[in-house]
Amino acid sequence: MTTTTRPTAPPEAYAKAGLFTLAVAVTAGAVAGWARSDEFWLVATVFAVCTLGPAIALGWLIFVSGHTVQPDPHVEDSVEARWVERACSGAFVDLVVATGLALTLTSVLDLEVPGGLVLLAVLAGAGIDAVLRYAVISRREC
Amino acid sequence: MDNDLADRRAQLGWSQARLAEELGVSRQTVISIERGRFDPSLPLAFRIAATFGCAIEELFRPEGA
Repeated sequence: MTTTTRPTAPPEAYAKAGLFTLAVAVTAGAVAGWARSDEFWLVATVFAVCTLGPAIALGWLIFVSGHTVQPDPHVEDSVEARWVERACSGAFVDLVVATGLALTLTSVLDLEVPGGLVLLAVLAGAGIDAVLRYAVISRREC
Repeated sequence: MDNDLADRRAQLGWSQARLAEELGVSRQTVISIERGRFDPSLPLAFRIAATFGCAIEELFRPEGA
């Protein structure tokens, strides 16, 4: 019986990832607290905790993944790569059209839309669109 | 493009998973090529031809040719 061992990164890589994570979370919390005039510590703590997850992922991506993940040399040759490309291209076109239509609508109707809400809608819409397109393409061409 | 990849694979007694492993691609990629729904890249076409010991033009033909 053969066993495979999962590649691990050197301890320094994990230490760097941890320090990076803390630095990003603390910085994000401090900036958020500074940007709001009241309740500095509460705001800073909430933002630092909320940023922790993405910061851990980013730290792992930058410092650890290079040691533990072996890139597939033939990834571009797979049909899945082509599907992702088509799904993302389609989602981008949808995003441009939807943004243009929404801009026209807000201009004509003189609507004021909060920027944060718009960015969230764009981000979520583009992601969901790409996933749905991939699902449709892969099902249709399987 | 049309191809006779499935016949050549069957002659070797290989499964789609085995061929995918030999080519370094996913099994779905082999399935899609065999069904003519995915035209492989030139590097992949060369690897397929080398795997079966033939020229690319012996494996792949324009549709309806």
